[in-house]
Amino acid sequence: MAKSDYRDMWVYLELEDGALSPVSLELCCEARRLCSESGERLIGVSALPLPEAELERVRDCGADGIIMAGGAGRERYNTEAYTALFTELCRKYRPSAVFVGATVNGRDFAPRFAARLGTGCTSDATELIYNPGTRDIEFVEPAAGGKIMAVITIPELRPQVGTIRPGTFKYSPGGRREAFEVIEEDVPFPAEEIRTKLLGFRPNEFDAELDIGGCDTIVCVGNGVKDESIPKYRALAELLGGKLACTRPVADRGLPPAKLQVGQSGVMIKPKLYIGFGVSGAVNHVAGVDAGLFIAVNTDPSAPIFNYCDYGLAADMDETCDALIKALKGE
Amino acid sequence: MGIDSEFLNILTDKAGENRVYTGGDINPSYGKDEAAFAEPSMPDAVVEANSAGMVSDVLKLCRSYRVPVTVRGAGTGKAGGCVAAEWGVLLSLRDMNAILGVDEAARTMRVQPGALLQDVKAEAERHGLRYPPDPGEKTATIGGNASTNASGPCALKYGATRDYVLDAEIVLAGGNTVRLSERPEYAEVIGSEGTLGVITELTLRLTDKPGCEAILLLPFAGAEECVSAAAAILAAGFEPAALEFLDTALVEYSGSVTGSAVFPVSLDGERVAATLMLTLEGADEDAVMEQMEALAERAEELGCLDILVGDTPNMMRDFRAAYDAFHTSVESAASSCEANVSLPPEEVWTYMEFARAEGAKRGIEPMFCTHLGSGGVHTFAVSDKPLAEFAPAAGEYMSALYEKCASLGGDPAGEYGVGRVKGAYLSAERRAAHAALKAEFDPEGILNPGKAAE
Amino acid sequence: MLRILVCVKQVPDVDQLRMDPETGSLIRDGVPSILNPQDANALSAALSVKVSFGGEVTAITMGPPMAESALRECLAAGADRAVLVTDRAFGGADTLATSYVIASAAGTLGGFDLIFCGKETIDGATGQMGAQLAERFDASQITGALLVLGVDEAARAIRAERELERGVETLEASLPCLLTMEKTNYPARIPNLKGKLRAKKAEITVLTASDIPGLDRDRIGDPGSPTKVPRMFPPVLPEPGVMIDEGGAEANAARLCELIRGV
Repeated sequence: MAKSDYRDMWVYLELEDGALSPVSLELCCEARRLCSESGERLIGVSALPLPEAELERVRDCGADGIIMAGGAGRERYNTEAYTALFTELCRKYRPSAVFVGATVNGRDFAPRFAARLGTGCTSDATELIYNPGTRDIEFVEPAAGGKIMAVITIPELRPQVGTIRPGTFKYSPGGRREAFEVIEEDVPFPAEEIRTKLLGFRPNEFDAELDIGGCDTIVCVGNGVKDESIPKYRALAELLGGKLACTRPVADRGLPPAKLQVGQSGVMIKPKLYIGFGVSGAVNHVAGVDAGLFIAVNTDPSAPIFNYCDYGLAADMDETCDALIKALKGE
Repeated sequence: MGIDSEFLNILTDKAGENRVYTGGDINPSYGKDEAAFAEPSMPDAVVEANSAGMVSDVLKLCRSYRVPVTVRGAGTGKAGGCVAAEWGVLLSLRDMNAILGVDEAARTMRVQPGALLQDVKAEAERHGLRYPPDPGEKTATIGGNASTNASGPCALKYGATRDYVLDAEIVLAGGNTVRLSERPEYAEVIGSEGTLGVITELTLRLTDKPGCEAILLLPFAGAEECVSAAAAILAAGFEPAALEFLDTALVEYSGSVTGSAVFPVSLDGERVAATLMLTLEGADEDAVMEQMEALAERAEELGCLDILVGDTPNMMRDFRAAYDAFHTSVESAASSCEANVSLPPEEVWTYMEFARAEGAKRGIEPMFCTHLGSGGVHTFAVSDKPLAEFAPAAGEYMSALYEKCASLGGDPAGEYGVGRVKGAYLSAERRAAHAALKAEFDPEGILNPGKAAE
Repeated sequence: MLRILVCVKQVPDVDQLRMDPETGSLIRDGVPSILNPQDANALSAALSVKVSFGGEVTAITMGPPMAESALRECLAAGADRAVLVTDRAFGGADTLATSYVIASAAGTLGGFDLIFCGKETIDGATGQMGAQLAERFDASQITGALLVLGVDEAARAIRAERELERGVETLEASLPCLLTMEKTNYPARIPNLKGKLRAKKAEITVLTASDIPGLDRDRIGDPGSPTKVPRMFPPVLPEPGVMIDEGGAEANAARLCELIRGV
């Protein structure tokens, strides 16, 4: 079948406790832009019946329609039923692209249904470009630890499947389209074909220290930090009424907890104040920072972080931290 | 005593207003280094020098006014060597931190004294070469390393800092500048802790990187077996670049601070008392493998529980980071102390046993990290108590350790220098020798008085 | 006895990659190749399962001949055997083509009950190989597994914890099962010398395209890869920020204080 036989871009609408996950709506807004360029329709796809209010929110993002799948087997997320659903719907409707939010479960089934369809799957694009010449989507992704950007395309096959990290694109509903088509599909999945059984669930205990996503002040340590100096930065964060965060290489060392990792593969943050110490400025990290005031301290004056900050200081991080603590205490 | 306004005016004139600090403007950190329990001691003035010329001007002035001068790098010492003993000028060389160049063909590097050890090592690696000395404190300055002749684990195979100083620019007490290569009689300045002259530039010898290296970990169920195994390994003709005794208590403590112990704490359910860490080097992988195989043949006789091998970049990086974190982890405790000495290698176990017994009397549980080849012993102790409560017992404890070290024929100043902490424990001969040098190099006694073997 | 497969990859140590400012391409010269760090965690998990529940651990990789060293690392850490899948025809493969080759190669080795993968590689970092492989193996999957709680070979089931955004779920999955492992509970094993020496001498099974019966040549290598990389470019850096230089740590700290207090 020719590429042109595949039309419409889909966004997977993921429900979390009855409400749409933020990333689903972020993707609707971004895909709307692409659809307007390509002249295709934007269709939301839900694996469960959607509450009316949520459906309205999808419309607000400029969707042209929605496919709502009903039927048993998907009450609890499971790889098999979700993979089967998307395989079946893609075969039936032939979308040109399917965008899936890179939640834990989104990342679980998207590559699998793409593999079942034999098509390509990309992950973690930070920018999406529609190329009118080739009619392909260009997925722009940081590679090799953010040292280079790679453009990934799926030039022959359809649909083009991409998982996108939450927080990559802005939620900015652009207004409703006149027409809105609602398609209801009954796609039951046999319980005996589900290969996992849920034995228990333990909610995360809320740990205020780990809740960096909604924090106004972030002190972030990068690879330049010595393990044993970390308490110093935590102290600085406390002094500023904020929290400590870190980059991937620091989280990889096992300290501090992985949940404090800022960036694409970690938490996306929007603080009023961000101070980075010993942060090199890898794309994967800075893509996760949307700060009111961005300050960077790094010994290497050529570190890319200085290109992302409002104010930079090329100096020893520990010495600066000590001096800053003293200055803040008014010593 | 103190400095007068006339002196201060000239000093400010020579050094420039923005490089001279007095009174309350002096950063309080200049009053101490990382020596435990030392009372801060503030100088009358601080000069943050940025050139050899400025150093010379300051020394000249200080001599004519008989004002003592204490030279200082990053202040990471543990013996108070870079803290003004009573009064005078503190001369910080921290801003003279340029790496002036690497001559790859000659395998040399020219640096200013304020460059940090970690930067010197990294620069050498960037040129495919190595600066072998590896004192644990990588944020010390290279000038401080040279002034204390700092060593570290690799001293076993590669020697200490002194062995890598090919040339130095030295400003003498009267302000004259000499080069070591032209005036070899000034070699004593290296390792003299700023009491004989001020180093304003160094030419360091670099070596080729070994073609291949591996770090081996030999865990032992008993600490004494671990110490004897080191002697057996050296006696058998192995030439490890480093041979370290890692106390499991220290491994665990550091692991609790950094989040990852890295080194083994138990093995197949058996508690590890201590781990012997060896660095093996060779021209290529086969050469290193050959040494490992030879070692494997002796495993039974050595009595180790296993021989673990880290020979990938990731593993070696993890091991080194975990090792370097020991002393800084200790410093992160509410209270801590450390006694650093150098002993004849055969006396290391006697000393460590003494340290344990002596600690038990005072409710102190020592933790050790020991360079078994060269006999350098770092004894650490931590406490949850506030410093004021911990200090008296710890102070007595450290004195007992230094005395024991001296009685065993060791050098209490073997690691981190003498400073103002350890002079009392040195032999009469050593003090006399130093006094003779001092009379020759600095008859007015203005260079770092009260330090080293005075 | 459980048959356990660990899929690994040799990757450049990306921390050491530098970009050539002239050409805008990555300088790979002198950058060591290492076993992907998270694959070492996956191997560690497989070895724990072997110790607790019995089994045989096979490490497999697809890559150039030099990838053999990554396999020897696995053998040294305790893998029982290793398989190198290598052929020029496999070059340029994306994750889908790679998953096809690995699963086909594994098929020639007999079936596997458990397949372990690292959560992602440090070079590609797509994190999608696990799910694609599970599809090829027709296995159940537990991606982002934290801890293996138990394996019941007779009942053909594995129990494991899986980390979600809001908590941890305990799942029971049928065998064969593929798990991608979080590193938290499975630090990389430090190999012992005995393992190292054994690994040095160990025979590594080498499979080329012609050793894999029925391999569909249209589905391997670059031609068999649906995703393409038409171009790469250095990250576009925004204009630099204002540099602070007040001539000393204290003065700089004072300036930072001012800025911070302005927020």
